[in-house]
Amino acid sequence: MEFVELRNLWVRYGKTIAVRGLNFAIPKGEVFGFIGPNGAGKTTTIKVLATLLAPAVGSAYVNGINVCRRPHEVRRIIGYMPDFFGVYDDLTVLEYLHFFAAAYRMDRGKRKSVVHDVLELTDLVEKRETPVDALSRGMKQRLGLARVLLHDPQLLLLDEPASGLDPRARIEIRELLKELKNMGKTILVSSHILHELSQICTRIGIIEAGRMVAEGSLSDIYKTLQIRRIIHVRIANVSGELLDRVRAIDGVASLEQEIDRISLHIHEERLSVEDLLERLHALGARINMFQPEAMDMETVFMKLTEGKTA
Amino acid sequence: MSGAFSRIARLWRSPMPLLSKELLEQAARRRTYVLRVVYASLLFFTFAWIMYDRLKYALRGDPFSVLGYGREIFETLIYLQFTGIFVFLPAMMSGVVTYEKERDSLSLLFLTDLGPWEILLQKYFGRLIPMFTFLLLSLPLLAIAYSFGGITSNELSAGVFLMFLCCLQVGALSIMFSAFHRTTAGAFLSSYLFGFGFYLFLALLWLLLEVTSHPLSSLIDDEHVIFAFFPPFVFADTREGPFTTTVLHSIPILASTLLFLVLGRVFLVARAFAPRKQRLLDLFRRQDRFWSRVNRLFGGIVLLKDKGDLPEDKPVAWREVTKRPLGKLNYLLRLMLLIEIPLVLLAIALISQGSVHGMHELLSLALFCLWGVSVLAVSVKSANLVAAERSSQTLEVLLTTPLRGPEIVRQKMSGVWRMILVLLIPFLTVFLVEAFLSRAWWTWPYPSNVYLGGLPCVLFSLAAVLVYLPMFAWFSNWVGLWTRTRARAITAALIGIVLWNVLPILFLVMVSPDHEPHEPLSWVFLLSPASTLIMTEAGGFDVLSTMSPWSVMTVNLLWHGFLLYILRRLCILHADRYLGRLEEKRGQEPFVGGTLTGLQAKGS
Repeated sequence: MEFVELRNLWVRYGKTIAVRGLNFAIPKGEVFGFIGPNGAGKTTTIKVLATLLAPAVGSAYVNGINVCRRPHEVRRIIGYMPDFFGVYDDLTVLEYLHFFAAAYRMDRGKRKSVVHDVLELTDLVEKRETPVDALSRGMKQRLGLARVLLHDPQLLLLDEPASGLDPRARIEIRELLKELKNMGKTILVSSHILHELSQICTRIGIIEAGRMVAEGSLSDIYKTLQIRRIIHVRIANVSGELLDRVRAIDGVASLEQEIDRISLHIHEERLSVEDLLERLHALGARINMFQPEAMDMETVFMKLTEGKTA
Repeated sequence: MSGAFSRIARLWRSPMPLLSKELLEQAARRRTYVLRVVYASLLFFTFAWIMYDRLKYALRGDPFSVLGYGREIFETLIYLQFTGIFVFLPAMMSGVVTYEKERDSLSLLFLTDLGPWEILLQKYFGRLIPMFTFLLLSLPLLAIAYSFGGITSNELSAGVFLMFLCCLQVGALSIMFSAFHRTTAGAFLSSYLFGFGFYLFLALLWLLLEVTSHPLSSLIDDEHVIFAFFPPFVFADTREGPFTTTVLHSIPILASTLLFLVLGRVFLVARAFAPRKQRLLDLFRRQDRFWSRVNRLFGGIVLLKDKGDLPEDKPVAWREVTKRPLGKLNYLLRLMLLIEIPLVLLAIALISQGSVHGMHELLSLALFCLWGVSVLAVSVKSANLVAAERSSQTLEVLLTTPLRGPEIVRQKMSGVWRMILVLLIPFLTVFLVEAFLSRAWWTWPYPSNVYLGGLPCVLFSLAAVLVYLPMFAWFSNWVGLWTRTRARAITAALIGIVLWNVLPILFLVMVSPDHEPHEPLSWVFLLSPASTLIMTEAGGFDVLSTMSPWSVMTVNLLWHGFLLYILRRLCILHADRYLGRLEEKRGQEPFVGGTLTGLQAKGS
């Protein structure tokens, strides 16, 4: 059994069915990106794993523990950060973290050092005596992450951790997530900021209207969808004859000539980026720029989803 | 002048988008219709009951004997409507501006062409119109009452006119607080508390001065001055005169309405973006700073020390008793002194005066007020415990910690329990003064056998406080556990408590022949928690004459003690479900992914 498993999960709110037969598994130590339009069922799924919602049908397991049957045990090994969360406006940062350290029944002797460690990790040491209500949104998100890490959970459930943040705060959160990934945490993170997810997630799941429409590594999904990879090339000795020969390479779907470069659209399953470079050299092209475009998750997202909600 | 006219004309000609939105929104809400049905049911049921009561005698003998009974029906309906306005309208009106503030949409309204007066008045009438529709429900009944005779057309006009003014006044008071406060809960509480103070301040002041024979009492010794702002009094006072007298006497009501609206207009702009503040906490903190400076002069004496700076084992309880203004012992004691000092002064005045004239009434009044304030404070705090966490979005995070549901609920109640213990002190003061003065009870104008006095009475009364206040606290906590918003939790808890107290007594009066309940029916009286206060302070034991007062009190306490146990158990047992998280499933088959074919079919 994988570390996180959802089997045939159905969740309903009154007459509305939010999640329809969801199945997926996350191995230990993996960062799983959960993507979908608003109302797709991401938050609902995360809430089931966070022991806050009961599924109508199906089951969810964390580390082999049935979430619905033994939620109390699951709470000890998860850290949940909701998309919107308030903070106790009558507490300081230090008091807030000690509050949750006590709620997680941490050993009193260790609390002080653990709180200091998470404050350091989230770069909030200097703010420890500041009332939490006076923190900026980015700092509150970092405090939320600090809280989540207090009891050293094995699974982190992060619902839109970067939503509403300015670019600097988003980068800070991304760097923190990378650090957590390096610490070996299993992370389920949902986000709308697709480009950032592609940088930290080992696998992604795209959900729409309560159903999983695609799941796997980004390159797997590219291959499945037969999405063409774009490579920008600048050739010093460009000529019409050379371009015709490039067009004729097996795996090149199309070639667009721009002012300062050419853009090659390739079928990656037939022609890898490295092979293309070799073939260009073989054709006598003198290359002074060869730039494969980053995996475009937005294209994947747009191709797979239709904007439906549950 | 022409500018003012053109502005009014513009207001009149404009499409009033906010008013339309308010009315459409309310028309789309199920709650509007539920409230209307409840209001109409109460009104028509009361009418039917009076009719039945009168007609049953008339049909036995002379049918013409019902003529002239229109007056009684009319009076009951009018006073019931006044009560309806005072009870329902602040609840309907207090969220009208705070709703926009809580959703940050007030700034968007300011960006439109609408001026502050237009916003205020359209919001005001947006809630008044539904209230007027409530009042319209009584028109057919008033017409029937009129046909029975006994009332003049002047009385009818005065009644309708003053009900209308009462709506305007109460609505203006509530919208003023809605414009002032940041949250609906604050506006709601202020509307009721300040409304109560506004109507009764002069009366209470006069009563106090009168009892203590203070020379200043003669200055306001005129009921026309004391109750000039109170529409039901103006109605009672002027109904038999010409309509112009009613209009003239209603000038203070109109003036106060205008004042509230002007203040509302000022607050709407001045406090539109007021930050959320804990005023009580800020006030206490300022006092803390002052007292610590004073204390330094005396060597830094510490009489009461709260728990440590950081939580140890019970984090939720720690926050409730060290960080909340109504949980911290120092702060609670300061609030208690605010109640205790006037009580002690009153006691000293009464004891030193040596006369028992008015003593019982004044002490009873003080006790009634103390009960009212205590129940209000305890209920609001308890209803707010979980509802506040829910509305400030801190609950979900707490629910994913390993703290068990019952534990969270119990820890949350620790501040309330502390508050109850502190409130015991003023209660004890009143009970002891009553016991001390009861040596002279034979001079009181009541049958002596229905009075309880002395130390046993003090103990019983204290036991009643220790049962009733936790009972109301657990009831309010239970309401707050399953309610989504703070305002709804507080309203539902307070309405529940009022109905719980009033309904058994109302039922008893209605079903008893000649409105004098006899046993065993009179035992229904004990279902109302207010029965203890009525029994001890107003000699209500005559309805349960076959048993001694002590036995009745014991039965009463046992019954309510049992209810306290049930309510507490209900909150604790289903804490996880009420809080909104998965419950531990013991002794059941594992939860396996089944195939709810219906659900799947619907999904596919």
